[in-house]
Amino acid sequence: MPINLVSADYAAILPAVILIATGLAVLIADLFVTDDGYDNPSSEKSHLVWIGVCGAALAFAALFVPSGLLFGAWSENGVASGSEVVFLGALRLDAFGGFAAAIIIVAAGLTTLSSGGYLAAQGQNRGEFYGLVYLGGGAMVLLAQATNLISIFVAIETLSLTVYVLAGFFRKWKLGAEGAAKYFILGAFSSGFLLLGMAFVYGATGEISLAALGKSTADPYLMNVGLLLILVGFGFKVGAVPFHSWVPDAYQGAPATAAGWMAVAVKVCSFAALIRVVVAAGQGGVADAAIGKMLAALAVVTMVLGNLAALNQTNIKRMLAYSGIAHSGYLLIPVVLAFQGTPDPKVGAGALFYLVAYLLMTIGAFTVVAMVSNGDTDREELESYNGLAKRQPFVAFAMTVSLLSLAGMPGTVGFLGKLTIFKDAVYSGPYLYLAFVGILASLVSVYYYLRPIVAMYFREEGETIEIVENNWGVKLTLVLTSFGTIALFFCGKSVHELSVRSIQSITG
Amino acid sequence: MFSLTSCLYISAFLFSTGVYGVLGRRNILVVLMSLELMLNAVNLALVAFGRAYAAQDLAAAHTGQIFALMVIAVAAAEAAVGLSIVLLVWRRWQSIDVRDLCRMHG
Repeated sequence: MPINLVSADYAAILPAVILIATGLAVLIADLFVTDDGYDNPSSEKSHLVWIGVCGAALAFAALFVPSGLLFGAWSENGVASGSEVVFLGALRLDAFGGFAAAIIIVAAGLTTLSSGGYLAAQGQNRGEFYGLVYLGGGAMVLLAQATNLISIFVAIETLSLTVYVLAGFFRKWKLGAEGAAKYFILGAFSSGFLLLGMAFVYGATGEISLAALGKSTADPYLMNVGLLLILVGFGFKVGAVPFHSWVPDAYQGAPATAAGWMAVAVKVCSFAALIRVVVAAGQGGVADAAIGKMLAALAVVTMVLGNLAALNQTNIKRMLAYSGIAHSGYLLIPVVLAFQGTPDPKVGAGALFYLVAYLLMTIGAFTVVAMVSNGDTDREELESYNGLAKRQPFVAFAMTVSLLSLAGMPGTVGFLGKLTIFKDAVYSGPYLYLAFVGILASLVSVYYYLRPIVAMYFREEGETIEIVENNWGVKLTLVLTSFGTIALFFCGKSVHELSVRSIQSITG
Repeated sequence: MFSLTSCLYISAFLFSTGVYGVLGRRNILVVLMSLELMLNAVNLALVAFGRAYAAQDLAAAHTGQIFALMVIAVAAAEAAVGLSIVLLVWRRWQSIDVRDLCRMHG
């Protein structure tokens, strides 16, 4: 059977292709001799940063080309135009994938911007860092669009391989090697379960499209076991309790900006694929109702344990890692509702909107961690933040905005994100209790988010600590994330509308 | 000829062996081998399912075989990254015992 590619096929993979081309361009550009010499890891390599940011901007623009992923999603008539199956069902061109892709692309751009100065201060500024971010970013965008089991598996493995390497990118750190090894072993272990689940779904239906998850089959038992294993695999990838043990170690060992990238981008594409899976499974009616209850239990345990474990962390990266686990718990609430599909099919939109908020506040927080630590592990402890507000008022302000947003304070986009998710849960009926648990868990979380803020503003500094400063990329990142965090609180409605239209492109 | 059921039993046995190896063994290289064993156990299941579909639906049968080929390619890439991480661990820790990798906790 000949495959005739049409313009929709090219429009669908355009953002991913641009990201991958950017990754290769960065690797090639790194080979050239610059003013700082050949491959000097202590230079800022701003030409690589520029190539990366321009590539991200191009990929973002590619979402809006005619018949592109997000083209027409802003239109008033509800469902985004141009949602169609491309590449024989391997991918789908729709606004849902486009929305997730937009978040991933912005995350790639911000990570690149904030990394140059930080990596150079460590003497570890190698072009491979940006290459891995963009090659992995391409795979992530493909995962957000993937609609059959093979493309989901290949995309999830490709992106995982890049983040395993990023986790151990500081080769001289013992912690980096340890974190990368733990991440790799548990990640590959979870891929095994994901793959086994996919094999069972294929065995039960003879198909690999996601729609097969909803088909009636001669063997619903095999089907449900397969679905369960797939969900376990995704549970590992998003770091849901009890599959979370790799998260704090991987984040602590990774470069701070890479940890921000891992936290945001991996979560965005994994949740996008997870929502596609649960929507397909939930619409069919073959999936057992017990799977919905299990997902809800997963959400409760993740929210509660993630926040409780974060309470007594003294290392800021570990604290943010446990906070990331807790946020996975909040994000599982819309997943549960999307699986149930009641009372209206728009409930999954909460997850998309929340991921936008999560992008801004998490990248902001990890950028400040990168600035303060300056590559030194000892400066990732909370004491390093004592008196920061006096020396670096802007950095302290950016950190405060990010942390308050993570805690869900009004005035920041984190508040709107939590409000959307909890409101959907309240109106859902049977899952009202998820909203209660979520609200209680976020009240607990305020304690540990306030600790660095108190340290920055009310404690005397012990010793003077130099931070990565006067680096345009880092400062620009902080300006963008703090501005975005506050501005989206006031004009979050249009982004929320777009997320609702995006989710409608898959739930119909 | 083997029946589908007997192939799946072998696949389940191999997968369980892999899971035991990842959870129970201390040497990272053995853990890596066990991870490969898990993926290849699933490959066996995929091919067996494909074989079972061959009688009724050729397209469905081919899907399983192609899936298995993709998994083999992914497993090769995974082994490359895994071995380089093991090398890094050896250089930093002078050990490839997973129980020595416990500086971070809590």
